[in-house]
Amino acid sequence: MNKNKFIFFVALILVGLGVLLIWQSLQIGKFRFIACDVGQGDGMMIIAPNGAEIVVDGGPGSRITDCLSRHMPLWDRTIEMVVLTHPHSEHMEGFLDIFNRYEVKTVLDTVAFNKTQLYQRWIKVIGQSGAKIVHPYVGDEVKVGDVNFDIIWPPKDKAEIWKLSPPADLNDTSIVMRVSIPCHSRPDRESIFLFAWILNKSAYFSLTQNQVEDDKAINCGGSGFCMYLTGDLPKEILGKIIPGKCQVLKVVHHGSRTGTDVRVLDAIDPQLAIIQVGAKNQYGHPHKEVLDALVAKGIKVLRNDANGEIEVDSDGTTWGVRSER
Amino acid sequence: MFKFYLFGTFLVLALALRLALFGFNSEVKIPQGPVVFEAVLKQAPQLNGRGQVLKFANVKVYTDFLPQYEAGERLRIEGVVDDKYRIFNPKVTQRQRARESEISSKISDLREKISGNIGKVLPKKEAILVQGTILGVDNIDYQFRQELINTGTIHVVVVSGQNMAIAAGIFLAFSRYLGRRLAVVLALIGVLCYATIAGFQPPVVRAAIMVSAATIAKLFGRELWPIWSLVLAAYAIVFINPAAAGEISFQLTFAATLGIMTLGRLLAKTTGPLARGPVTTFLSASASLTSFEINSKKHGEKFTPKRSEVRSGDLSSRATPRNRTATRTFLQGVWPAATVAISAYLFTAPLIIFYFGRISILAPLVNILVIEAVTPIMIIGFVLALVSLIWMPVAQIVAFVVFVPAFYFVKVVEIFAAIPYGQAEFGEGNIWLLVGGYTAVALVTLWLWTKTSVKD
Repeated sequence: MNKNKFIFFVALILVGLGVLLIWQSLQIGKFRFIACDVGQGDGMMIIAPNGAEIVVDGGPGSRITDCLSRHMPLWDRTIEMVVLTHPHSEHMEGFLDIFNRYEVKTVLDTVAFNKTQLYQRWIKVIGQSGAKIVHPYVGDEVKVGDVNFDIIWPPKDKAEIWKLSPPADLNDTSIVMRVSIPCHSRPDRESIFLFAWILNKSAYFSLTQNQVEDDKAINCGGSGFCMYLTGDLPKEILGKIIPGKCQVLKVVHHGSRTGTDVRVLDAIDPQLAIIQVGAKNQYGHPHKEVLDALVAKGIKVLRNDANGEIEVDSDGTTWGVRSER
Repeated sequence: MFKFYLFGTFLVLALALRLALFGFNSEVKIPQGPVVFEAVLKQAPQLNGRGQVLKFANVKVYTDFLPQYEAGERLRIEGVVDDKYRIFNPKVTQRQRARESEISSKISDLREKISGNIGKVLPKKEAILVQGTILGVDNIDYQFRQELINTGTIHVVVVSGQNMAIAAGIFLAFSRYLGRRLAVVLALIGVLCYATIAGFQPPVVRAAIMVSAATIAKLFGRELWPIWSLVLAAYAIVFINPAAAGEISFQLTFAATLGIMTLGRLLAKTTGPLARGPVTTFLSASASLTSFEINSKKHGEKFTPKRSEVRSGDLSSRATPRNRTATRTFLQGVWPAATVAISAYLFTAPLIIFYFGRISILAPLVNILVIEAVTPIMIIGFVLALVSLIWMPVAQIVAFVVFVPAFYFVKVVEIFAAIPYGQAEFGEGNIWLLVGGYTAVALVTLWLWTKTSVKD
């Protein structure tokens, strides 16, 4: 190869790398929730203001890793926490690809077991990965970066039974979380420098188990930002356990009538409802009565099949949403 | 001339005799409709983002992610073959493992290890691209695959003739320092190693044979040698396995290589001595090694723009001699890649239309834009593969470097794949279009040939 051309190529690569690193650094500093377009299933990621990533459910197939690749910076090959809400394939298949490609630090593992081959593989993979495995129960408070995950289902007594004999409907075991960030969660500007960012990110995780508190008024008297991630939990249970209102709701069970009713919507009173659903799915999700209920309450609805990927950003006091289509 | 005809007649007779004696030994064809069959899985299953794709003879079987099947396994398949020879949701029963030789299982372990390592240090699409260029891809999502097909760049992620040619071309580019003989020997070793790591699938072996033949021809440096050696290599392949002649991959590889060696060479000639990257070094077969050295030296002088030239960037004025040089320099930089892309496109287009009934209109443009990125992706990709086997933290740093050209490639493909009407759909199975298409291409090539020979 010609010497000049070689030098030109090297220079081009270095400049390109510099631009990319700076550009990707600038993406860090706010809370981002991304409902990935994984088809018929749940697959979400959260990027904490300090750059830590949390994946909630892996979706079917391996489309979740496309989503992660698009949003994680080039130098970051670590996912701070993954959450498997319950062991159904449309919530967990994508995790296999995630564990192939990324280092995972902590797993919030489902409390129920399933007899499928996929679940056996999941157990093997998380065991081999060296990740810390935690079974969360009601009252646990997990903090990753600046983001709080309050566990509101399942209760410990039931979960202990489910570990030995799972219920007829595994959806009952779904881990349900209230995700919130403190108000005025400021963009962490130091973290645009790579090394500062690594140091910052390494002190990321804290878990307080078994401390049941009543109402957590951490969000400046309710003015902060929060959202519910609900897995596939049936409405009969969900309606009873909601601790308070939130701006955003991940609609239960891909918009199935088994998960959402007026009582649930009244308790949460969301402004935005996100439905993770694949086009032309065999279950007819989302069900019409759910959509009608959402519309009747004047809630903005975004769904993956119609809107593609959906992203919610927040700095703790204000929040915004955008979608691919 | 008489000798030539004699030789030709001998070859044809030999092939006829071989066919008469041993027949076509074509592979088993599985019919449409409900089937039950038992077979050994020859290739590791491909992952397409939704599940596994198993290939048996002419049929593709789509299954779930689990259980994971492996090459060498004996499977019983029960299902319905549709009109495109696919089986969805089959009933698969695992039988015992067929015996696999130790070497081939070691190689497939190595492939898996490298592929896994690359997946760990790069974002997904970039990882697929690097894995594809150095190993031949076997894990590609449906969507990215469609994007590559729609832009006519899928050949980059399979171990194709082009990738082999780049591997050989990298060594040949050093012939100035190594000497012609050593460079050719190294290039052959390079091609062999590449074919080994790519897993010796039949299409890989064929591409390796054709590229090796053309490389050896370089030793003799004669004008027509590379073309004849390509034809002879193709002949040898068909002689050993006549069924290969009917395979699309073989036909496409042959057509593309022939196109680059004939039309591509002639097109390259039309603008005089030009810049030559490794691709063109190898492919513009007319340039025997000596003339290549002269060309690149000449070019080296031209490529360094003088200060005055850089400053004279007044584009609005009429072309002054100075900025005409700048334009020329630019054209010299782009043209070699363009000749390769255009000639390969034209020579394969009739076949692609015939078999698939659609063709990417944007393919030549996209290929021109990305072709120079493929070489660094491949070179750094090999370094990455090697380093990743030794120490992953260093591999992560190498990955940053290869990320840049890979990212560029992926973005170009994404942008062009999103353009509507990038595809033209017509003429599937139309034999007259096929014949007409090749006649037209042949006429253009001949016309250019007479034109350039007169000039010479």
